[in-house]
Amino acid sequence: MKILVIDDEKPTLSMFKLFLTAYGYDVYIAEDGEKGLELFKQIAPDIIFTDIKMPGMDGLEVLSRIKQTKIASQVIIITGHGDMERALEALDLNASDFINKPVERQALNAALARAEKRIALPCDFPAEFTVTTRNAVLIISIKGKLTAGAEPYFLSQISPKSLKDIQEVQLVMDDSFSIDRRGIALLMQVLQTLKQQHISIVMENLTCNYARIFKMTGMDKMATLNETPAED
Amino acid sequence: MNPNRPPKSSHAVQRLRLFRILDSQFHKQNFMITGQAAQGKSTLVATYLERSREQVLWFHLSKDHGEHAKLFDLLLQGIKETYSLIPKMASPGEIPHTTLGTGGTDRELLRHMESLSVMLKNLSRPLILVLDDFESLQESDSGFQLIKHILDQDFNRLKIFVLSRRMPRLDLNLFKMEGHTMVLTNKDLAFTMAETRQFFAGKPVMSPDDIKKILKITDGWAGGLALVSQCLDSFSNIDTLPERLTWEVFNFFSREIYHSLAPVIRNFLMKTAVLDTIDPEVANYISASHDAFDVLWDLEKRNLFIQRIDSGSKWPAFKYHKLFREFLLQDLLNTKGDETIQQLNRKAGQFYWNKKDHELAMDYFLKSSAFPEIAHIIKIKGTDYLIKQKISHLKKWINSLPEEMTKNDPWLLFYRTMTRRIQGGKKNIRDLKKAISLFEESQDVRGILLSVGYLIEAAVFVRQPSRKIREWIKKGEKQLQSIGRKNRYPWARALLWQEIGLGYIAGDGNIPKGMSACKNAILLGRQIHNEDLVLNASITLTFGYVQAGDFANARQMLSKIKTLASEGRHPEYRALKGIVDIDFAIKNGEFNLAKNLLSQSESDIDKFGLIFLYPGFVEAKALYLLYIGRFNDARQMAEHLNDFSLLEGNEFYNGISHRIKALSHLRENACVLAQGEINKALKALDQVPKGDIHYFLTQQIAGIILFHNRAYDQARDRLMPVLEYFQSISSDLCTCETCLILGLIAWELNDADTAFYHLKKGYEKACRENYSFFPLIDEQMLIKALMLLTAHGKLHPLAPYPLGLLLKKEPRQVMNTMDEILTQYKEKHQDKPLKNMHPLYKRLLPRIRIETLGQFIIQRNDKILDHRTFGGSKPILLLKAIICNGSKDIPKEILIDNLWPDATAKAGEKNFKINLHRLRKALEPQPKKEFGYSYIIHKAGLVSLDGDIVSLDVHEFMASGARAMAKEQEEAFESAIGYYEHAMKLYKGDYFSEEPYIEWMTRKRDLFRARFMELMQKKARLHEELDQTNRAIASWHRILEVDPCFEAAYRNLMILYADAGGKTKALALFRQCRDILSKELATEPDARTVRLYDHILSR
Repeated sequence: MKILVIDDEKPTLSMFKLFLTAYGYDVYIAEDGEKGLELFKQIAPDIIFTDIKMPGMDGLEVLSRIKQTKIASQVIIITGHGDMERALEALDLNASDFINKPVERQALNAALARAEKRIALPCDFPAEFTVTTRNAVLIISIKGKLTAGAEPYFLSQISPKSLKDIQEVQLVMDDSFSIDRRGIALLMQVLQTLKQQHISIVMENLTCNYARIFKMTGMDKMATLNETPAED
Repeated sequence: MNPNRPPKSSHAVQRLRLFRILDSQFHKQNFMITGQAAQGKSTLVATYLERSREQVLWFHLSKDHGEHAKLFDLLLQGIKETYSLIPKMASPGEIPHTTLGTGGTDRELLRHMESLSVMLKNLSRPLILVLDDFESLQESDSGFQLIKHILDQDFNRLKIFVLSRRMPRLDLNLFKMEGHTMVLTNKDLAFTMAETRQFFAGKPVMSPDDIKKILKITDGWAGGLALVSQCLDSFSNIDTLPERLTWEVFNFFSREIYHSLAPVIRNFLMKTAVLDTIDPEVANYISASHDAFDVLWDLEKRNLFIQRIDSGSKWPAFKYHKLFREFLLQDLLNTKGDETIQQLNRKAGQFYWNKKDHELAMDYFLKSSAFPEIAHIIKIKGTDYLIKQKISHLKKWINSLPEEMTKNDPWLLFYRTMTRRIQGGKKNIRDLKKAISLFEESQDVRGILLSVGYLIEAAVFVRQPSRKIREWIKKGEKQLQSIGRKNRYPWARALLWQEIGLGYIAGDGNIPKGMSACKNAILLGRQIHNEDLVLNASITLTFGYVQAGDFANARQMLSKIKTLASEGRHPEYRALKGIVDIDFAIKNGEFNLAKNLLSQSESDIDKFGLIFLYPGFVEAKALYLLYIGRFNDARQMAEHLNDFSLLEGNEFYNGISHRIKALSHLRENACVLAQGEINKALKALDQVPKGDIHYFLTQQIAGIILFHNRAYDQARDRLMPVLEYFQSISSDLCTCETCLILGLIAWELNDADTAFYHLKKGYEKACRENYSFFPLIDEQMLIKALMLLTAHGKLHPLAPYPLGLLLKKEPRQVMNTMDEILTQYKEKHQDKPLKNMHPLYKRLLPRIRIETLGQFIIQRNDKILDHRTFGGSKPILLLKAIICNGSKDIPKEILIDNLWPDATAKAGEKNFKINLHRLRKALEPQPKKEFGYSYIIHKAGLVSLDGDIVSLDVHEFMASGARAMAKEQEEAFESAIGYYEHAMKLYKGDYFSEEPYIEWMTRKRDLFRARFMELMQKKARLHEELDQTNRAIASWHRILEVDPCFEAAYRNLMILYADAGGKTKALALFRQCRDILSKELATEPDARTVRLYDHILSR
């Protein structure tokens, strides 16, 4: 599997190259956005890691240019700590995922594992819900990308009728789960609705990156966020 | 059998026209012979090289060789076999698999490229490589890249012939420009009229028109000529030939000839076409005939597209021409079907398997998809390939098997993972686990040992957490224990020990255990004479030493394994050595060398994916930046080490990162920041069992920070165990620095005995090892340590080692430290330290240089002193008087008499004192009170210049002259001339020329002038003796510049010019002499000069 890493810091590039090669990937590197895009067109990688802050063409620009091509790739944005606003911008631009710098092994493994799973799905796979009820627990599994488009269906699942006798709602994020800013707003709306009805909420199978972003929006005050550690 | 001998071409036309071209270009290295199929490329090169005395290796390339590893093996095997025939040549070996890196196809290719280059560069005898059928390789193939790389290099003893149907895409223009390559094209190879005539020389008489017609229809195509020749044999009629005979019509045309052969021959040809090389024995076996050799021999004689290869065995082997073979195979497919082809291949495979040539057998079994046979051979031979690390063969074989067949067979599954080795990632972990459980079911101990070993390796490479790696290590150790002392499976056991070593060192971080495992592996590897295993285990062990910061042992280990690892073939060895050398260079303060080594290591690590060496490299780079004063860059690099630590998921490099940051802050005197970082480092390193040295190195810095914070008691308590530890591991520099710091601490704690005990110990170690750079103790601390030892008479500061250290420092800094130390003594106890320090004080003063020949100049440390600083002309004149009177032990009365001859004794004395003071003050504005004035000594009424710190040009002039004459006496003429020239350079004019009227200077002025004239004449005459006419002329002219009336110079110059054919010049010189003598001295040239003039005139 081909991976392209774009970063203006040479040591970071060297390190990524060594690690990802050890993981068994074919690794290509580029030290700026322009070169990265050129290489992207040549090799059509399966996964791209791009730093968000780069002189010249930044990571978001790289992302939007990649999305304009017909090559289906998973783009993972590398952000600095506390750079959540830009991470959200990236998600709006259809980034598959993001990881924080300095990159921790767990985060890298999680991002890679999920990217590999998303590769198997069709492009722009919209959110898909599977709903089951067990012992007064409503389990909603979410697969694919959660955006504003999912609002009618998602809200219908938490209508008073659906929540009758329900004490807890579990939102289980599939490995292919991703989200954009409007998807986060929708999720917040769902949590608030449930909270008002005094239903306890648990969000399962979150990556550390999503857990961090959800905490920033205050979701941890409304729901229990359970992170799933990435496989070693 | 050696399949790499050139094909035989006994019936071929000798193409002298092309031989001449090749001869004229034979100084070149590469020969590109291109032309359409059957254009006679191989025949030309084979006949040409038959005449060569050099060793020729002929390689027939096929599509398979597009894979670089396979091609490399082919070349290596051929070269090895040749070498075994030539015992003097060292035999090259295979490429061992990567030990400390991730490999990857591109890196494997790089390794093969490097290895092949090294091998070919070290040939001790000339070798010619012929790469036939080069068009079989695609430009995108790694095999093509391998050859391209080789063609691009310069080899002293190698020539390469590339034979190809099409022009390969190489930088031919560049090659040609560099005179590297010659090219023969299709057009060059085409037969000329004369050659065509020669080709048909053995045929029934043909008219020139017939030859012309044949040449026209074939356009000189050798294949066409052979077809025509066959055609004439069959039909004897040239008129039946088509209008144009190109290789596209080969099939059609050869069919005509083919059908004219007997059915039994046709059948034989068809069946044997499946063979790449036709050994008569195998041909008999698969075609069920008995006279294969006779048939082949006859066909070869008839030039029926068959080549004879002298294989070195009893019978020669044969090879069908590519076009003809394709034609035969097509016919075989059409008439007998695919199944027959498969059967024939299988039969050929069985033949070779019976003959114990499993590689050839495998080629035919692969062609016939004979899976059970393939699996059978893999199981028997697989481990050999693993031991020899010829993975590419194994890969091809195992990949041919259906997955169904391999997934539940432990050995096949195991070998499949081996073919993926490092690139297998997590897939390998899964498969190896499965293989282990299958081996356990069948209680196959060897399988378990090997699978567990490679599982540890795979787990380390995909950075599995330590606990998982430890789990597999334990399993491996348990297996090894259960075997106990039984002498079974030595290779598998050694391999497992080596992987356990790697697991401990690179995965678990338990370096001592890892090193012990590596030592076991080395021991076992030696017992079974497996050099690759010994090398890999040694590299891992060295890596362990480097990780542990034990560079002394790492260096020793590297020198031990040097013989095992020729540097070009083992990037790990080179990179490890690089890191060890960097440490050594940094410790010796050789920063330029360190910089070069860092860039070389970085390139190797990047090129070959040596991930385990990366953190060591980053640490070394951070330290390098730190020691050259780029503190921010050093901290950035340390931060990168921290990033690595996070990505790897262990605390160890985090600890190192903080330690480097602490040291950088300490060097910038930011003790608070340093303290914060060192605390973090101690915390991080406390948790990892990576060997103690890093922990104690951190404690050492912590102790220094405490020293800087004046917490002397705490610093001592912290450093005492550190010293003990470093002494126990014989880490000299660390011990030395710790001793010096402990000495300084004890001094501050007023414990002089302990202070000098440690300081002396530290100094002696430094002196013994000749350390010139101290990574931890700063300049101030080092100066203080040396000055304390000096003050107490424990070292002589002018001895070469301490002086070398002290002269690197700012003199002001050293002098301030002297002051600091002296203030700690009560005045009455200062005498001894003062006496001890005085020689150093004097040595640190700026040097004074006085020039008297020509312009009078006084320089202090190369800076000219303005005469105004002397406060009048008298102090300067006093200095001149001191110099003129010999500059040593001059009674002051003489000086007073020189300067103030008319003054009373009292006034003279007073003037002397005043002017001496002014003079001394001008030369030494701020003398140290305790030592007094140094340049001019006034003691017991005698005045001297201190010769140690004041130098005079006249002394140098006289000394140079004396040396020149001594050297001339010894007949060391060049050296003598050097000294003469130096003296000449020093004599810039007369002695004190600015004082022409001072009587007491005249005598010396005349003396130096006479000496100069003497030296210059000697020099000029020496040049004459050595026939250095121009230099002699220049010397005589220089004499005339000083004394234009020096008649001997004119005479010598006249002779020199006249002898060199410059009669006019010589005569002009006489006239010049006559005029000057008349003008300056109102006299005539003497008789000798006039006689000489007459003599030259009469010539």
